[in-house]
Formats: sequence, C-alpha cells, structure tokens
Amino acid sequence: MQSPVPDDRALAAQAAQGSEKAFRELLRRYERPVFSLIYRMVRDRGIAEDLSQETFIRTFNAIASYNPGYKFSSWIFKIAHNLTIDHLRKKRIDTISIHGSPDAVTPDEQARTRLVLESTHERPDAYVENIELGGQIEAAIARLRPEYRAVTLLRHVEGYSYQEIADILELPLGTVKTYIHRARLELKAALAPIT
Amino acid sequence: MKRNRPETDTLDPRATRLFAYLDGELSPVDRSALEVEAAADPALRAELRAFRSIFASMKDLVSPAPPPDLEVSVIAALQARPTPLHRLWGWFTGSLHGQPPVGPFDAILDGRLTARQVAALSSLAARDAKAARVIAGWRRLGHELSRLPEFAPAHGFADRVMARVTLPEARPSRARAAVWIRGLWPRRQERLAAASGIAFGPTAAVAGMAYLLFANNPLVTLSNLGSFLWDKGREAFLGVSQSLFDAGLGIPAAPGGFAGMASTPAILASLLLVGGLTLVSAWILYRNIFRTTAVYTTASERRHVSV
Repeated sequence: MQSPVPDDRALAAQAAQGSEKAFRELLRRYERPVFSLIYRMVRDRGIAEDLSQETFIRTFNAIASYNPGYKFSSWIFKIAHNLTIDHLRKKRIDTISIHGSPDAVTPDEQARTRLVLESTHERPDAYVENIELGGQIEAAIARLRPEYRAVTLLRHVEGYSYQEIADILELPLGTVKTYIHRARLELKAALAPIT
Repeated sequence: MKRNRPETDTLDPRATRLFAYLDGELSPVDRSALEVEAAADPALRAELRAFRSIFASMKDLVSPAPPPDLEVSVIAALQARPTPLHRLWGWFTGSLHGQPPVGPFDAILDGRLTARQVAALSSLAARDAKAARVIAGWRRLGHELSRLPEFAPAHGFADRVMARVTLPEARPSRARAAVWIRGLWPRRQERLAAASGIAFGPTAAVAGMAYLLFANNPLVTLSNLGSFLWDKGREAFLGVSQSLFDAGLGIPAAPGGFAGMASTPAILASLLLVGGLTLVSAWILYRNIFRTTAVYTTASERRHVSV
C-alpha cells in the first residue's frame, strides 16, 4: 500500500528537524505558484527568480518559527507578496531618479548618479516574457494596480478564498472583496473587445 | 485656528446674491435693485455676464449614461435578491458565509451563483439582448481567468535555493513539544468557534445522563416524556413564583418550597432543554464556521492531496 502524502504542516515539521527531503518537497510544491505570482507582479523573469529565491530562503531559514496553526501556503505567499511589494516600491523610487539623484547639484554629480538605460534591442529573456505574458488577459492584469493584481492572482490562479487572501495580504475582508470587484471591472473593461 | 469653521462662513455674500439673481430666486424688489446697481457698475455687469455664460454652458452638459454592465448588474441583483426567509435560512445553514455581497457578476466568477441568481440572469438574458451580451462577457472573463497558467522558474532553481538554506539541527523533544502545543492554539475564527462552542461539554453530559436513565426503561415513551416535562416544568415555575412572592412579602420560605424544582427529574428536564438548544447552536456554529473554513483549500493543496 502506498504511504499517504504528507501535508504541508507535517513537511514543515520534518524540515524544522533538518530534513532536506522535506525542504525539497516543499520547494517542489510551491516553486511554481510562488514564482508565477511574483512573475506576474514584476513581469521580469530574472527579477522574479531572484525574488522567488529570496522568498524560499527566508521561509526555510525561519522554518523553526513556523506556527502550524496557520497554513504553510498562506505563510509563504505572505512572505512572497511582502518581498514583491517592497521591490515594486523601491523600483518606483528608482525610476523617479532616472535623471540623477535629486540631491545631485552639479552636472558632474548628476552624470554620476544618472541611470544608464539598457539597449532598446530585445533581450532573449524579454522575448520569452513577451510570449508568456503577451496575451490580452495578461496585459490587462499587468495594467492593474499592484494591490488589485495581487488579489486577482491569488483568487484566480491560486484559488484562495477571500478570507485567506485577507490573511495573506493583511487586509480587512471587505477591502479584499472591494479590490477583487474593482479589479474584475477593470479587466472586463480592458477585455471589452474580446468579451 | 480656523478648524471646524462652518461652511456658511466662507460664502461670499456678493456671489451668493448674484447666484440667487441668476437662479431667479431674488424677490422682485431685490432683483430690480441689483439690475439698477449693475447698470451703474461695469464690473458687476461683467461678473454677471461671466456667471451667466458659465450657467448656460453647464445646462449643455450631457449626463453620461451608466455603462450597460451597471444597469444589468443592478437589475439582476434586484431580481436575485434573497427574501428575508432565504436570508434567515442561509444564515442558519451557513450558506451565506463567505458570499461576496457585491453582485451577481462576482458570483459568476467565483462559481457561487445561487439558484435564484441563475434563474434571474437567465430570464434577464432571454428577454434583453444587451443583458445577454454583458452576462456572456462576464462568463468569458471568468473563462479567461480560469485558464491562466502557472509558470516555472528556470531549471536548477531548487538547487540554487537549497545552496543558500542552512539546514536546522534536529531540535530536542522539549522544543518539539513547545511547537506542537503552539499549533494547538487555533486561528482567530477557530478560537471564536471554540469559545462559542463551549456548550458542547454540558450537552454531551446531559445526553449521556438521559441515555443512562431512560434508554432501557420501558415506561419511557414520547407521550410520557412530554407529560413528565410539562408537569415538572410547571412545578418548577410555580415553585419559583411562590418563593419570589413570599420573598416579596417578607415571608420566610417554606421548607420544601423548592422541593418540586429541586427534584432530580426537574433538573434533568431543564438540562435536556438547555442541551437541545445547545445542540442547535452548536450546529449553527459548525455550519457557519468550521464547515466553511474547511472548504478553503488552495489550488496548490488540492493538487497535492493533503492528508
């Protein structure tokens, strides 16, 4: 008879005991969901891989503090979401200073702190991203505000309930419902030609 | 500080008078006075001209029509609105839990359309082509969202992660016990359910006692039990009323005043009643909290078949 598949809590308990096998099984279960969420949020494969890697490293290095009273999936998605939002915030600040640091006074300082734009030629990974995220629905999701995007992906790709999304994003349940509702309205409007 | 200053303080009396004039709200006397004043004051005439032009252009503003989605959503929601009886039943059976209150289109995308909503949407779509298009659009969006794939990171991702993870050393059994005990402390919803469902214990005790006393007694029939409960209940009520009445008049309680109520069957009857009610409340709690919590599993967990 086949032995039953251990659930996430049991795996986390084994991982906390130093079982590499348990860590690898958790990785196998969550690498795609976590990567997909982050990838759709940042729309860059390289950054998504870095952030996903960071998510797993933080989660696994803190496995001893995992409370089995909560779902492991909620915990890891919470870490992934926080890292992604931090990245998006940081990126927004960086893009403001594209012409040099606001503190730069002299032309020399401005030149030194100016961001160097990459070549406009398409990178190989950008080509892959265009194929993967090039559909109309993906483009419409990308145009959503990050908060709307996160709730939509957690709801429709990962299949979380409203309450679980509220727990993951640390938002009131009513706010989650409103975000999902508005995100759907925006998606519907964006997809009007095909719907 | 000028905080909380009434709005009326900020109104310019001159502008207020001009607006009243243009709105035709001035009395004939005030109106003539203003016209005389304007004839003599070019600045006032210019101001009046400017306001008149603004008022005229505002009349030309066209109210934008609401989007068809909104119209259809409102109609469908009104038609699918549950009656108070449905609401009560939904609460009682826990089927209202987690229902998004935002309308039938969210219910389409969440796959939670009630029978009433399905019927309302179908009838609306059958008689209104615009509504049919809107409803089909929402269904299509739901279809598109449900087909969103998951992406995989590049090959070797797991090895790259594991290379940077410090494997913890096996903890002593005491630390493991601490984690296990911490795991017993449930989440907020479950804590609430546990606190509210404390009545389970007494209910089980009462049910057990009743079983021991009555299960094997051939004299215990439904009608005997009914008369017994009625007699004992009446006796207990009269006993309490009498003692309260006596206490009000300052008469010391007669020795046996509570005899009827204090008898074991009376206590059992009361406990049975409480137990019955407790069972009902526990059932409601179960349907509204535990059952719906268990439904919340992620797509990932469904794929990996939790134990």
